[in-house]
Amino acid sequence: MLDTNIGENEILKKEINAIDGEKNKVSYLAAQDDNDAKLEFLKNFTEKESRDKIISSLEHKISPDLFKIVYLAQRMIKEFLKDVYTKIPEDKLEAVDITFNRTNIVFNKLPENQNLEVDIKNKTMTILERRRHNQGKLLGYVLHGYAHCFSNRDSKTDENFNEVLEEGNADIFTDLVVNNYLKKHPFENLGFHLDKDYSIESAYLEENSIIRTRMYVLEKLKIDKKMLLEYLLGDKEKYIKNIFNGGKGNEEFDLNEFYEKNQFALKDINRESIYYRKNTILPLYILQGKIQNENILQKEYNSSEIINKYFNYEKINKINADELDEVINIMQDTNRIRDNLVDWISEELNSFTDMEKRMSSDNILENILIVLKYKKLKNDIAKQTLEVIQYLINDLERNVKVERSKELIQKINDYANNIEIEDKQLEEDIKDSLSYLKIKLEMSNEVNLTPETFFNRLQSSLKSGSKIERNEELIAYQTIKEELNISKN
Amino acid sequence: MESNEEIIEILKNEVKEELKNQVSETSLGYVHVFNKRLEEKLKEKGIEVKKEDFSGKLID
Repeated sequence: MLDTNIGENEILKKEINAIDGEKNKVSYLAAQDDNDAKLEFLKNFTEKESRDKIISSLEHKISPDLFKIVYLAQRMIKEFLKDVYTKIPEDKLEAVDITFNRTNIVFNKLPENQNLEVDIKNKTMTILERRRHNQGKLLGYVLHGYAHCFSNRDSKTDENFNEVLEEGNADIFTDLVVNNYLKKHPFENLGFHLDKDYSIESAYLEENSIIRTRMYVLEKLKIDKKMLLEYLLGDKEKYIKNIFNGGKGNEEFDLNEFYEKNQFALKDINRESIYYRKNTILPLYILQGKIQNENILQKEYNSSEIINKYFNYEKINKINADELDEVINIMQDTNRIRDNLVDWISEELNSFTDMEKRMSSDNILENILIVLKYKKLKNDIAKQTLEVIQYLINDLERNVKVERSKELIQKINDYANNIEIEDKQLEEDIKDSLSYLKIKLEMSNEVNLTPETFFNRLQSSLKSGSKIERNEELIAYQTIKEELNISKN
Repeated sequence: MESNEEIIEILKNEVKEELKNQVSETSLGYVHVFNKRLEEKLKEKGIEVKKEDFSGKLID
């Protein structure tokens, strides 16, 4: 096969040599069928016009159902390049055009569980036929596929194939290209919906985490996108030299070493960054930044250990609930911390004496409500929660000042409805108690609480469908007025 | 006694079920997560796993 190609190329070479004038040579070459031959002879021409003519003569096939998505993807890529460079380097622009003009993109059947296949020998991207209906996903497939085509445009073997670099870079390329376009064309009707913060649907979590962490650091040097394009469209050696400081690029990513080397760039990590999405490493670095005295990057921890380290082994009666919320929230962004929140809160509650629970019922409850934001309560925790609520109500009835009553009211408002306990009677008791506690807190907090608002809230907190009889309503109304010390009309 | 093919089919269904709420079948790279999990299960059962040679294709 190879010999035949060489033979055919020799014949073509002779034919081209026999033609006078570059224009005629180019026209003859452009009229050939074989893309590989055209690209083989491309190096003989240096004039831009000649090269463009040969590149635009390359042939490819696109399934008609994919026209719209493929040309949108191409527009998006070109626009991204334009925005990364002041002037797009000619070699990179050419690499893009060659890829666009010689890559077939088709729907077809694929082996089990595959959605996309990029055949780098035959320059064909195949998308699983039955994925044809979701345009947003198709766009992601095409862009991810193009990234592979760019990156492997000259590859023939897997000699230097590195899955982390290949898949992580293809995914972040897709996200950057789409988001750049959406930002610049917020009102363009694409004919289908794309989320404002678009993110490709991908199972390459580890690959994305490593690449995006590196990109986050490179962004501080303002070379992130240029380096990505160097990998895809330029010189991989140059990319690897820059990213791995002379290393080969296939070493395991060392969490601790990378953090130590890049501490400055990893200060105050921005959770809104595109590189924070699909990234399980940066959340860990945020936590490490806040836990100064201990290293959490050298082994896997569970959430209770992280909370303990973060709060210097304080118990929940001393922990600030908003800070706890922040820590748990960050931990939710990574799968590198084993989740044992429910066990943790249970152990914490079991470790208190009754007296401790009475003394710090407000703080304990506020922290339980934070855990409730993320988790379902087990029966044993629910029973203890009910106890804590009761202690707090007792305090309020004895006019004991609750310091963070406003915050507590807010959390009851936000999370009381999340409560879901196996024992439904217990669930109802907790919800009722929280509702009552909230009113008591509002009263103690001197929020403008009138009998009317109290009564309305009482009614709305009752099960739907139940009714208060008129005489009961009048008695309740009178009682509340007296309780609130409002003079009778 | 089930044949290896039958065991593989059973294990494939198990993996599919396990991944149902973790990774979407339409996501890029699903096939790799699937194969990795399947490979682990096959190893547990003592079934040899053949690694495919690079065929010039990138699979997602």
